[in-house]
Amino acid sequence: MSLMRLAYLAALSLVIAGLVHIGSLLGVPRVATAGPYERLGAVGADGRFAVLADEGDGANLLPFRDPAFVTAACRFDLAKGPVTVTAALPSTYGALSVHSRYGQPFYSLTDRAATDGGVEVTIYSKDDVAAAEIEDPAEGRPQLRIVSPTPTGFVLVRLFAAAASARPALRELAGKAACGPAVTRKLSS
Amino acid sequence: MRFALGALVALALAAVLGLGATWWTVANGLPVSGLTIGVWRAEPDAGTLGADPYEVAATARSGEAPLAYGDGLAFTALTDGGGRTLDASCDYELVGDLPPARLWTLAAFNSKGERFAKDAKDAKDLSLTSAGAVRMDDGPIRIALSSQARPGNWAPLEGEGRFVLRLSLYETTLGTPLERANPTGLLDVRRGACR
Repeated sequence: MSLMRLAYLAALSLVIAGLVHIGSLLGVPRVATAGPYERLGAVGADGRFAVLADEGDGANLLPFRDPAFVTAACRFDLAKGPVTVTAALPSTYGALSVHSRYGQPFYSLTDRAATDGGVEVTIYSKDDVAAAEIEDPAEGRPQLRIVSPTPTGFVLVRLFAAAASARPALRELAGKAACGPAVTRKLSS
Repeated sequence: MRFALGALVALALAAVLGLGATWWTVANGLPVSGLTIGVWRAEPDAGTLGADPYEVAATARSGEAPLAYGDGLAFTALTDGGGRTLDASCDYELVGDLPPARLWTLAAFNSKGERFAKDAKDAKDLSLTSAGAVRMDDGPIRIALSSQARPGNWAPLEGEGRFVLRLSLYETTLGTPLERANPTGLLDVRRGACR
C-alpha cells in the first residue's frame, strides 16, 4: 500500500470519525436511561410534587444535589393540557426551576419574585400558548405564562434549610407545592 | 480486495475514534469550555437553554439537574491547589474570599455525585453553608475540611478515599458574561497533614 493511499485512508477515517462523533453526541440525550427526568420517575412525581429524601440512599437520587436544600420534584406532561405550578417560597431562600425533558432549566424564580410568599406559574406547550393568550380573560391574579420547549419536563422546588431543625417544616412546605392541570379563570358573573 | 480491506479498516478506525471522543467528552466535559477559577470549574451555560450539545449530553449521562442561570452557579473542585486529587485521609484548608452572593454552600461528594459517606445508606447533610459559617472581621473565609473535628468552620468528611468538592453560590453575578471575562477569586484549597 503506497504512502499516498495510507494518508488518504487516514484522512477519510478522521472525517468519518468526526461525523460519528457529532451524530452520537446529539443522540446521547435520547438514548440516556438515567437522566434527571428518568431518575425522578422512581419517586412517583408524575403530576404531583414528591419531596426527595434527605438521608440514606434516596438522597442520592439526583447526583450533586445540594444537601443544604430540601428539594421537591414534579414531572409534567403537557399532552393533557397546560400545567399550573404553585409553590410557597420562604424568604430564607427558595427557588422554583422548570426544566426541559433533557434537564436544562428554562425558567426559574426565587423567593424574591414571590407575592405573599408564593409563586404561581403556568406551563404551556408551544401549540397551546397562542390560544391561551386569546381565550383567557385578563382579569384575575397576575399569572405567569411560560412555554416549554419540550412536551414533557420537570419542576424542582428547592428550599434552603439553614439548620437541620428547619428541615421538617420545610419538607412539609415543599410537599404542599402543587403541580396540576391549569385552572381556567372564568369572568366573574 | 485490498480496497475493501482498506475501507473496512478506515471505517473501524472512524467508529472507534468518533465514539471514543463522544464517550470521553460526555464523561469529562470539553476541556476548554466552562468557567475555571483556580481549582474550581463551573459550566454556567449548562443551566440555560443555550447549553451546547456537550453540556446537554453530560447532563443526560450524569443525571444532574443543573442550576438555572439566574438561580446560582455550582463550582466543582477535583484537586487541591497543588494538583493532587482530594482524599479523605488528608486535612484541607480552604482560604479566600467569595464573590458577592446571597448564599453559599460547600459539600463533598464522591466522583459519581453521591453524598460522601462510608456507605450510601448513611448519606446525610454534612454541608457547610453561609448560614452556619463563622466569619472573622476583615479576614478571609477559612474552612477546615477534615475527618476529625476542628475548631472554627469545619466541614466534616465522613467517607473514605477520593472525593470532589462542590461550592454553590446562589444569586451571584459570577456567571454573567461580564464577570466571566474577569472573574474574582474563589477559595484556595490547601492540603494539610495526611494520615
